[in-house]
Amino acid sequence: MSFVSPEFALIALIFFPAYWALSRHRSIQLGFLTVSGYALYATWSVQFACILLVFSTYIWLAGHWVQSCTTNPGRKLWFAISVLVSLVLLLTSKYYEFVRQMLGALMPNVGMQALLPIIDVVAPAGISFFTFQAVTYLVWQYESKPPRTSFVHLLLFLSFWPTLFAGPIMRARDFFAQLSDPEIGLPRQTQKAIYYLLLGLFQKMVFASWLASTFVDEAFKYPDAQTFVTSLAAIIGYSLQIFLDFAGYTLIVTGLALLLGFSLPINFKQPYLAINLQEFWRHWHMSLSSFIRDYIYIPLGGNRKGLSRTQFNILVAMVISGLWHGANSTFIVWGTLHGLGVVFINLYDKALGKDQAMPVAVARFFTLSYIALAWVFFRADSNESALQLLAALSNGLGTPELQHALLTVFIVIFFYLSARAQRIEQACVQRLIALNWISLTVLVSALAFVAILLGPSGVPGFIYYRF
Amino acid sequence: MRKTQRPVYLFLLVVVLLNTLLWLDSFDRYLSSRYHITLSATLPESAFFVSHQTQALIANAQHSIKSKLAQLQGSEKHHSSVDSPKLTAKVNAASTAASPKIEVAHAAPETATAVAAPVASLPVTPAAAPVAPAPVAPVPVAPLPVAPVPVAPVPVAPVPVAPVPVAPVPVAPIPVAPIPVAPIPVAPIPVAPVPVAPAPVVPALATAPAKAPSAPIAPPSFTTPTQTPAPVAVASSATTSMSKETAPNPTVAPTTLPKVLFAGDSMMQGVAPLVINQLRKENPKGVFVDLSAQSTGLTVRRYFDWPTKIKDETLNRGFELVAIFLGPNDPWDIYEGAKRYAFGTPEWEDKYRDRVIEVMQFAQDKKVHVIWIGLPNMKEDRVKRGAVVQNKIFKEQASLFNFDYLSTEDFLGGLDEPFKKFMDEPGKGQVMLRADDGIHFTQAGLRLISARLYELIKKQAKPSATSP
Repeated sequence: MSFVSPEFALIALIFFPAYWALSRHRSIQLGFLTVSGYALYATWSVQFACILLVFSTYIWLAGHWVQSCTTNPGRKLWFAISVLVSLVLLLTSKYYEFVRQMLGALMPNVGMQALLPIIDVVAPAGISFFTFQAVTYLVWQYESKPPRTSFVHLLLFLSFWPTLFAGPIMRARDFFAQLSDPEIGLPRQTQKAIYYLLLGLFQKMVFASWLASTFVDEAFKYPDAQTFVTSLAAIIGYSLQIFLDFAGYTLIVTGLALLLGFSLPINFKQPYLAINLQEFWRHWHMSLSSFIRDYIYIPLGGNRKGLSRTQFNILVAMVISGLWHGANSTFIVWGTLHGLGVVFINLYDKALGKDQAMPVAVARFFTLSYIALAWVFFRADSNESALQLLAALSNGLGTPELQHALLTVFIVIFFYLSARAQRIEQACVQRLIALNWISLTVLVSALAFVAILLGPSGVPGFIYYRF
Repeated sequence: MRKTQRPVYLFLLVVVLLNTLLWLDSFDRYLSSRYHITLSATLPESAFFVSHQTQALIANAQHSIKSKLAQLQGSEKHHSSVDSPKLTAKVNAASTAASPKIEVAHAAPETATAVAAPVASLPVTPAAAPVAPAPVAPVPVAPLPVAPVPVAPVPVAPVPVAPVPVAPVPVAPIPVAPIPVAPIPVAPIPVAPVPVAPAPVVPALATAPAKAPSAPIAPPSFTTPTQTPAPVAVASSATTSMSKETAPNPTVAPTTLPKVLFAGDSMMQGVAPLVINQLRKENPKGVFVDLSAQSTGLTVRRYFDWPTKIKDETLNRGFELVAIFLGPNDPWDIYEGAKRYAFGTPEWEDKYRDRVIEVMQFAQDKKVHVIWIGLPNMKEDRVKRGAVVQNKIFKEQASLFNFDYLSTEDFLGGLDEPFKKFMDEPGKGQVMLRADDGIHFTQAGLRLISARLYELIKKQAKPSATSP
């Protein structure tokens, strides 16, 4: 059940009053929230809900074992085993078939026979997200020796429905800290939540859907039939679409979490205003990029082992970041492009010095262009298809149409508002706070009506649900 | 609930319920079939009144905007067909509300059919009554300019009563083609996107299948099939879809391939781009149009009316061949008028067959060839049971009308066998052909189907008058 479906909206009318009514009974309320997470997950697949329950039980037990070890080597060993086992489901369901097919194609070429058997495992929805959250729990248990966590709390952490399907990836330490906050369980910052919900709804339902259907989907389906204008519109359109889709989703779930009384980590900070790739990655899908930094890049040695090793670590982290999105060579290329880009900038800075920076506008233009180019591989069905779309830039100019003028206007407005997003948010929230409930209800009802009116037919899927 | 939470809840309540009320008429476009059917069957007609009026206002506003835009743009070509399922529902509602002569059966999702056959075939029940003056003050609605319904003489073609080879059908269903209704010109919303809803049958992880290979790929030969696929290279190339003009490939000589319409659901969405890419390579100026739309089928016509869509598009664009691949969204009860045809009953089968016949009869009358692609084996029991019945109907009717039936069971596994995701390919071992949802296909699976479909389309090529 999607968060932008009418079923969800109608069920929310029953869920929220029941949930808030339990706010004086914390343990029952959290139990209710946990059950609701599993129930929502079961609307996708009951089998997935069972898998999540088994997985969560294992993670809780593994955390307990890690904590129980009295010797450091023992703890380290238990920790390493626990993390590896926790990754088995993710690796098996998401990557095994990719590896098996790759070996199946390669091995006969070198005179060997591929021996890997078929393992038919369906990847549960959101597995990449809850697995990473589980890793943060194990690391927390290993590093900090926190007070023993309750089983129900751990179940809730891994099935917390606003983040279950597409993040943001929460850290165990932060989430469990919130559980001791007396404010959870009651709607907090309601007007801010409403603002997030509305903005997310418009970003996803209206703008991302419009970009996809008008510029992107057609061009990526038939890449070599494109002209300069249509392929450029598709490339720019997808860059905007994926941001509006994912950032819109994040806003919606952040708003829902606020209504539950929880705070979620910030996932986006105007990434397309970045002046280089490093800054982009500090502002794009921040919960994932900080996870990769803290749990992959730094354990690999980070920047502590010399220039060349640092660049290698960056490249590895970026390729893993790409692979995290799925078992497809396009994601490997996407991650590699970003890795190489960061390495190039590092070497450029090293050679010329950071004071040789180019003007901000120029730096933004180059950064965004490179990011947009990399998105082509991210979106395309194959690398060949991506190259075809890029090659189409050298086709004839094509005929610009009214929609391309609209896209240009949209881009200008997008960047104008992006540069002022913080101030706009504060001003809008203040306005909403100043309104009485009747005016607020009328306003939001009208805006929701417009969002549905301009939205697509059917329930739009979120891009990051796939990952 | 505490006092402080009450305003928040009341706020949520009003926002959600108000929008539900306003959008109820086109609500089914959001819901999967099972919810939609329940909703349509249980709600009284009066519940839809506000929504009717709202949709009528919207449709009128859209129409006037479109008219003004058309005036501004001079000779902009008006497209007469409805652009999206969302608008289909809205237009039905609009025409209902605006035109007192047209009745609507709202308890059932078959508004389009009800409108299409107002003569005598449908029983007029209280549920099918026109929008009655409800206690709510009627919103003044300017009548939508509804094109006069051309009650053209319906060509009641004699039903070919050839002996059915598989299961003996006692009486061949009479193809009572509904009277064609001229589609109401509708102004599309400027930013109305294409539906991207998840397939309702299996909402979890319905893999989006469309992936176009770029290099020529010979269809893999699998050991199980009884038919050996023709060695056809499927490659992507310059192509088009819908009404977009494309850059012709000057290196490829034009051929005499027919004008092809690809119709269907997400199954066709995966197959069509591969075939179109290949066809386009041979005939860059050919007309190959993919209108496949996710979550559609033949069961819920109010949501998406494929028979009417195929007729309209064929008449408007002169297609010579229609390739159809759909079905997994269909194993649900059919509502027509006030009558319910429960899935799994002979009545359902007859009703479903009628809709297949409607398409084929039209195609035969207009001398349009049809290639109907059968459903492969399915994982989910309900979809599988549906596919057994559907394939039987598709195959029988294609045979009766002398059209092509492309059986996917022959190379993707029969419906009487356990579902298999993997099949053996010499030299490569077990290759995954089906997606995790047990309905859709992987790239390898898509290539198998597209190669065969491409071959069948090629067989329909006519000798070129201009070629030497």
